[in-house]
Amino acid sequence: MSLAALEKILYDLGVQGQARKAFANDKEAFLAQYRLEPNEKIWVCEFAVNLMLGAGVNPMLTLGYWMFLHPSHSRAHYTSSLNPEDITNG
Amino acid sequence: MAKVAGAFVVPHDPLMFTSPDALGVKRREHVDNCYATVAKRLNQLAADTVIVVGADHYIMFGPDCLPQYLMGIGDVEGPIDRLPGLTKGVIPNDQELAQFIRSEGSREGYDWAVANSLVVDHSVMVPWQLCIQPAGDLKVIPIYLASGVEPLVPKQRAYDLGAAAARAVHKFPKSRNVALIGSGGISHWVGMAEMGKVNTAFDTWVLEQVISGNEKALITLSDEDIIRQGGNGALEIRSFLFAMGFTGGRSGCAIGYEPAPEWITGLGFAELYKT
Repeated sequence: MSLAALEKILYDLGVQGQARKAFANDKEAFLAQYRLEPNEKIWVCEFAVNLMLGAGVNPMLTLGYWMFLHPSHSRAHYTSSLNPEDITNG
Repeated sequence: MAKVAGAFVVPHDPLMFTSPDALGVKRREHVDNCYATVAKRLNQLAADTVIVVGADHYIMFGPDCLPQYLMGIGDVEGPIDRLPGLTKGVIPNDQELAQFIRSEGSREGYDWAVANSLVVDHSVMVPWQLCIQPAGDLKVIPIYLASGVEPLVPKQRAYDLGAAAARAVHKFPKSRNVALIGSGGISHWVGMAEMGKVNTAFDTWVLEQVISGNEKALITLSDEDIIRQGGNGALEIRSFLFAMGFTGGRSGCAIGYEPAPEWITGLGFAELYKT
């Protein structure tokens, strides 16, 4: 688990429009810039925010990344995706 | 020659701008009136500089640099996070006083991080637009405390920094009448599974401690307890503690409280009287 790399990529995706464009254009190339474990790359691509929170990522980062990049752009969808049992056992 | 005018605590909820009608007319007016009351009081106090103590939301500062406490001592503008209705622009900084507070802090052992060019987020922009601009031609000194991203600034340190800032103001050799706004929501679970919950009992208790000057009750409350009762957003009570240290006061008054689950936050407003 690489918490620092997870927080760095979510921070970049949350605050940098260029990063979001690069991620949209070529996910693999973008993800390769960060020291992420293979499962963490999947989390980022699949919006597994519950698993990220379970790994200790700051919730402000997961929310910002979701609101910018998730197709729903919805806070309600974000909240409903957070199953407390998953966070505990993540 | 400079003096402390007083202090206030106000929220900075961005959902006020993204979902302006969510509370309905009456509750929205209540919130607007609370901000207007702070603006009116700043005017009545004849404040000419306002220190605004905000909290970064992992927007201004990233994993590569996370200051414990930072002051804008040069050019200031905002917001970095664009919100509908929150006007982008330059904020006039009281650079002379800011640099004096920094240097006095350094002399006392408080090593401020500084920004010579700072783009603030909504935690400074909201009080600027809703309280300070309507109060007249006032200058601002923006301060950021690590209230949302680990490592958090210790709560005792937040209080002590406020007291140190007040001592510096009293030493400043030019005329100033300095007010302070501690900017932060009370209960809110930002990005957590409980997001949307508001704990009115906790919010009311926090406001009671603020207006009665009971900083010890807030300082001794563990961060784990704060998160359990008020969510990660309630860690922003560090801004309130800075305001309490700044006035050194033992009294204040509540301006208003609005529990706003629609805006995912308990919104508390209060004035702290100077000692």
